[in-house]
Amino acid sequence: MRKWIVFRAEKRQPGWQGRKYAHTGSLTKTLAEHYDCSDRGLPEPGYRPSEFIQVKEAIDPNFPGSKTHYRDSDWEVTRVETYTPDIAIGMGFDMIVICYCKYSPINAPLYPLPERQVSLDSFGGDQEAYIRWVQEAKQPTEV
Amino acid sequence: MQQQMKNAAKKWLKDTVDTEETDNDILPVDCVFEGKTEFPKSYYNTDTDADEE
Repeated sequence: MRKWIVFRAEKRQPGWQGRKYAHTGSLTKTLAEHYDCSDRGLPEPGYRPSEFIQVKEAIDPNFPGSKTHYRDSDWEVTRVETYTPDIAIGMGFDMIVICYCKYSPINAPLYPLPERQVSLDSFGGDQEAYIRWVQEAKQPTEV
Repeated sequence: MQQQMKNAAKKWLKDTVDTEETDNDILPVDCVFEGKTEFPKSYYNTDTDADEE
């Protein structure tokens, strides 16, 4: 089942000036979104979506823009609504889930993101590009 | 790129919790999946030295 899970700030939550779409600057209440094809249950009240952080000391020079750590965010789900399409076949999503969240700051522990996995899917199935990448990765680094 | 991420999530039945730019030209986008994620190793990515032992 393909679910679009949207985490959205409840009314009157602090920090609204900072919640903007990067490409337009428009204000938004959307905090995060998941594209969920797993079979795990929906988020429930109390769930905290993760936030992703870049710790300078842990940056992989090959991926300088990447986040390196994650932790539970300061937002906590308070209410969950689900919507299903009128016609179940051929839709982009089988369910849209809106998780309303309140700002509830915590000092959550920080965890390193696991090592990045590169597979054929990383190249959209382009076998040639994938093989090239594997071969280059196997080349000894020049010092 | 986002379509590739969606295809991978669909294929591996995963929950994609974050997608971000990496500033790497070859692999420009990171996809973060919820939970333990291990993709099967491709034939092209096996360690031949280990295989010969």
